[in-house]
Amino acid sequence: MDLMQLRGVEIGYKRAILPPVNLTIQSGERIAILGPNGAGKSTLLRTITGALPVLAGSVDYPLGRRPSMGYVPQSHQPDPAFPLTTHEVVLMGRYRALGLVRRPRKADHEAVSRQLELVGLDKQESLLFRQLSGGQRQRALLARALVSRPELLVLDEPTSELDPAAEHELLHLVVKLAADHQTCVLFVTHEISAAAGFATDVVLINHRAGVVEHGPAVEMLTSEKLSRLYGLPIEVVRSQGRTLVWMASTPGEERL
Amino acid sequence: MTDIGFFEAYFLWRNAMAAAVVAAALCGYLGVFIILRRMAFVSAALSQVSGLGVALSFFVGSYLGVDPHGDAVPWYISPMFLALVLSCAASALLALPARARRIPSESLVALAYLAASAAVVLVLASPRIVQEAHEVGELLFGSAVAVREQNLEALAAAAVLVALVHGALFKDFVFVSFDGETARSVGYPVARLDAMLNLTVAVTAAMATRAIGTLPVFAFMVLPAGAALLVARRLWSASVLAVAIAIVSAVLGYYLSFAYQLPTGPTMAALCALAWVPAALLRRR
Repeated sequence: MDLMQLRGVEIGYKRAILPPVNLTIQSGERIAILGPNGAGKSTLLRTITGALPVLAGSVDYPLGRRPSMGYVPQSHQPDPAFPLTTHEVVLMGRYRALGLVRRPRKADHEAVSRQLELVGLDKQESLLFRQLSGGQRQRALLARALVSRPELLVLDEPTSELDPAAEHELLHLVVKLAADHQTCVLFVTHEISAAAGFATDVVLINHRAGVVEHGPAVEMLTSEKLSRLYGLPIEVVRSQGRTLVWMASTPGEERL
Repeated sequence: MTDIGFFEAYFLWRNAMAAAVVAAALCGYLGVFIILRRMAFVSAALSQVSGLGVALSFFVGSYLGVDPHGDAVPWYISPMFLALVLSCAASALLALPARARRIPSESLVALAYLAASAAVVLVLASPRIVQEAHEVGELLFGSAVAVREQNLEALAAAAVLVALVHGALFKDFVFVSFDGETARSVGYPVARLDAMLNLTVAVTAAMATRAIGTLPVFAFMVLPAGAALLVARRLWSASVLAVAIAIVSAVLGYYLSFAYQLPTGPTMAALCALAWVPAALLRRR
């Protein structure tokens, strides 16, 4: 089922930073947005969420309305100075459905507890958000994004401050929980391996090179396209269902 | 000690004490947002700008032959109105998105604070308001002991406004303050909510400054909340504690200033600062 269709959309703050974008977002897809620093990834994400108006083109909603949305920010975005419990933070995900004064009902508290259990934070429910580790905070923010059963889950570099184990764990959780409700997942990442391991589709963007391409992950994550995207020789090798990405920074010197 | 007893002089301090308590409660509550949003010096700038509005009222009144203390003062040059206009204008300017103003927010806050402080001193030095300058100066620096009925009513109106706005939007204010990026992404009108929150701070700063002066207003907006956040584990308990510290400082400060002939505003501010001592000792790990 189509959730959103971007047709010839120009994005940017005052002038377009990318060629017109054509993109259809469907239920059940997992779309990775890849590109170097300053490529326009977050600008595209902000346009998709509606936080940034489009400069030209149109955004159509085949459902007749914007899809309901959950959002997971980078872990440093929420301010840990606030004395809020994990439960209170996750409850924010249900505020929009609570009417003017946002008074939660018993069912809302139960939904929060259930969602925290699903992300493995049931024992941390009454702890302050700032007392959680980096990985736990991201899981709490994922629970907040999913607690209202969104049709579209948007993640902005959700693993940028996590170690590889926590990153793997979080992305697995995202895939599992999103699959339960056919939620579309759209995530910005710097990690090519994360895109290779978890995305069904990939958007490659780099405004300096004027690149915007979209397609199945297996077609987008190739040596040729990634080398052009990053301006570096990048090798992609697929073996036994896994994708290995090698980046050669200088001739003769290679690193994983 | 003064010759007349504190309780015998009830008719003298009734309004002033009531104004100090209402202002302390309002500023103490808003202070939790002010501290958590890292806008302590915004409140200093707003109270100073409000003070400029009060001083300008007397200055303009001297040209129009009107005494802003009197009952016949036109609304457009009343101290409360000018304090409110300047405070709200400064608040709107300081709330502009960084991209729109192209100046770091700290610089703009410093500009507002310093320009308003300098302008107040210059206005008070004007030969046109020599007679009123001392009185206005006392009022601005929080040394005045009397508060007029209408200032108390204006402060009560500000309290009702803050109660209504925060009663309806408290959780939204918390969300956009805690994680504005997510709030914006899921469709919250973050700029409008920020503006509403800043407006309640601006209105409170204007009304409270007119009633009790710039120094105690700044102190009530920053110090009780800072101390409360050191010890409180939850947002609601931090808010309750901040209001309690502010009210106790106001009442005790007023009493001590009366009993020992100390300047009222600085006494209240000093008591707010003293609250940090037990708070620092009891701070949660």
